Amino acid sequence: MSGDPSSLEALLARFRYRPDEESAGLTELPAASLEPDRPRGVDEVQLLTFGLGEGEYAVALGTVTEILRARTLTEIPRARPPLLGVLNLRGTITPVYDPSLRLGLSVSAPPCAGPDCARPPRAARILVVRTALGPAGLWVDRVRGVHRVRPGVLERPRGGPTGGVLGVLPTAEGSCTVVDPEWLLR
Amino acid sequence: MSPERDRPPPEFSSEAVETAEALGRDLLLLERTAADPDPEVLNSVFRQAHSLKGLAATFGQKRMGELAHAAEDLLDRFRLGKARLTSARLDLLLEAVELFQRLAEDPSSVVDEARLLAGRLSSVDEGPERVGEDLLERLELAPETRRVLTEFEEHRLRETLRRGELVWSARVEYPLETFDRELEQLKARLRGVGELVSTLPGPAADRLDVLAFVLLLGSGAGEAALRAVFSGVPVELRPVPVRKERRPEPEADGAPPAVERAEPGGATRTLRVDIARLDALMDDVGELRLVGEAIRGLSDARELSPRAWTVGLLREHRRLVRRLDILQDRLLQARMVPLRPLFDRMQRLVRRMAREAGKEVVLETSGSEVQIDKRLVEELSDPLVHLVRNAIDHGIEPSGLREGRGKPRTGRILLSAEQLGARVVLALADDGAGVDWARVREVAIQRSLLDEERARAASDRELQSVLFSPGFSTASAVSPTSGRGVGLDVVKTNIAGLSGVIDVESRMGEGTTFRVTLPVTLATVRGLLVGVSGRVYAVPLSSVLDVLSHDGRHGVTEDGRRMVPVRGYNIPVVSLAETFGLPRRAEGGVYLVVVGVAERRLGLVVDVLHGQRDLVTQALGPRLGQVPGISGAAEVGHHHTVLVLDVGALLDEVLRGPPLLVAQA
Repeated sequence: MSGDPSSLEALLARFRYRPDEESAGLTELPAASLEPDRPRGVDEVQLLTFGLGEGEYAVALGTVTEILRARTLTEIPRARPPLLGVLNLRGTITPVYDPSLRLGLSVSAPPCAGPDCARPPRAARILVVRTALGPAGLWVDRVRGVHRVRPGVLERPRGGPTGGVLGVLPTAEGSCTVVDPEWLLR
Repeated sequence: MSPERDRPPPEFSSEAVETAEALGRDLLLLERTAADPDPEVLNSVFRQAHSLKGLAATFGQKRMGELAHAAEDLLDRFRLGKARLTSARLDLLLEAVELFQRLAEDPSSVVDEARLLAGRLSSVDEGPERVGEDLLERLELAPETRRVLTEFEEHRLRETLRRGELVWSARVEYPLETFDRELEQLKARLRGVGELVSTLPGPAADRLDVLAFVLLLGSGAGEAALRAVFSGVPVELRPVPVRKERRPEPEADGAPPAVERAEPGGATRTLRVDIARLDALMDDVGELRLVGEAIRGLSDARELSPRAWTVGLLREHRRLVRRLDILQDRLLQARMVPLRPLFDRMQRLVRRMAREAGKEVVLETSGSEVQIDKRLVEELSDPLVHLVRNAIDHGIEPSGLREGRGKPRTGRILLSAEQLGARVVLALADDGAGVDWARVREVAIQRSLLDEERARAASDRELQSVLFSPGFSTASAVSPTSGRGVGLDVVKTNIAGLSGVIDVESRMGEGTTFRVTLPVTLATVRGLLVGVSGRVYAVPLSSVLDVLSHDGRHGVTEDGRRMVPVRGYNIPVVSLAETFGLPRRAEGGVYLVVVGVAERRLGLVVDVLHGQRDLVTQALGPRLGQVPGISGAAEVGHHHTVLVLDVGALLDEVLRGPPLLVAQA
């Protein structure tokens, strides 16, 4: 069963972002569907790729517990960036952060908490990641999909911030920076 | 592989660890009263060792079984007065508790130690043989009664006599349906007055629906005190005569040892719930399952028109919400306990403290049937003890002085509770000397708690915050006659921790009343929803003292604080929008929500009031940690999360530094 090559495609199909109208069932992935499959190769890692502004990024799929369609957050008074606000995730108050600041991007998330904010863009998502201090959300512009890669494929980052950058994944469209979600939250 | 080597099943481990922990706790209680162990605690320890033995047998845990048996055996001998409880022996038992916990986790790790300790426990030799005659032989009990007494009961009777107290026989009748509850309540009321040694069946009653009992009580209190315990139930009460002895027993008439009795129980994290309440909860869950089924049925019902489908869905939604409301109510109810045990404890405390202080004081209580959240009862105990101690030490005058002032000899303290909506108001009133406000003013100036001009101008009411400030309470210069001030800052801190409000009212020479207002429960918070700049926040209603319309006019103090007169005294006000740095909206500042924590007050200017709600609050979680001014969040309506204001933190923020009091403008 683990040798079936079509299951990778099936998995990718489940995670790859498509416009909502084409795949109605894909807008929110419940926690259970993100449980990683049985490992295929010992070394393989699964990466969830997402976009922020012009850039493409990825985090280890295992750290992501849920992908939510972006929604208006509850504003925390006097909150400072990168904290955007909180959402109530089935009874757990989950803070949501803007990763663009940490990644040194000029564009940052639009105001997305409180009564004055606009409706979040359709493609925007919140990645809920597991951290030592409980769940936290990352506001991203879009989610691309899941890649299975061997660690050897990752290239060392050149220049730029290196603290939480684990490597660079060459892709068909260019490259994708693999980051440590905990670092994005700091 | 021998079964001993196997890791025990988790249900065994968890229960064994829990029981061992409880055993350890009670052993420590015993330590404080080792000379004259509280029989109730001793019994409880004994029972725990016994259930540990049973548990071990059920799960085939031989080592633990042997150790528990040895411990139980030794405890039984203590219980029956056959061996004396010494601190070395207590150490042995505490060692056993340690081993129980390790055995529960991994029995193979401590096989030899367990066997050795079991041996040491069983080799504790008998205490010295009782010398002289058996006091019990002098007690004139009917032979048929004497025959049915258990060894433990005999021991307790001996102890009663040894302490120079009397054995009373009480014949009483209770209704058939409620006798067990009545007996439990009687036992509870007896605490501090005496001990229920034995419950024997009484002579057949005339009526079929009642049971008659003969109770043997040991007590040093008088007949009146004992009669009071029966609270109106007709009782034939008589002391069991003791035959005179030629040679007077020197120990028997000595004063009973002044050992503080340990309170069995104490703060526990567990709660006993009436099984009927759990059944009702179960019914609710059943009902919710039905709703779940109905919704599933709807999802399958393809033949329904969209309209019929929507109607069906709405109907099930209503059912769901209604049942959830009921479920929440019942869960809250299950957390509620009456204040009576707490009040009873204060009763005992007053007796003891009054004796120690050499004063005559009675405590009267009312409203002990009022129910509040179990956790609140526990946390209320400390501040209440403080206030009671204060009243006795500094409030109530010595009898002589009272007579001189034309007051009754015996001081009176009234502890009352009253439920007002979602709040409970507890009041502790004494008829003592009262607070000398002039003296408070002097001390406040001396200690630089207030500058002189302000202190002179402040009303008594405004001075009360000085009474609660730490600098004041530690002031050794305040003599007892000058009034209160000992530890009131601690009380304030405790009450604030329960989101409560404290007030004091006092007149020189007439007495002092402390009033504590608390939420009924901590599980849900009744919140006032306020709107500021288009945002909605919840203010815990237990902290809200007043809501007024506000015209924006205010006075300004020298250091720039805005003050508004509210019901006779000035309180600081802030705009919530400004404090939170929110953009100004057109509709601005029309309501003043007066909040308070402990003795401090603050007015919050808000735009809109959205009414009250019951809120289930959630913590913000470790990642966010302390958010200034916010204590948590709650879901309101459909997916709408509002933040709950942390009134205490807002007060701290606005009123930084010592309490500031300003004369009326």
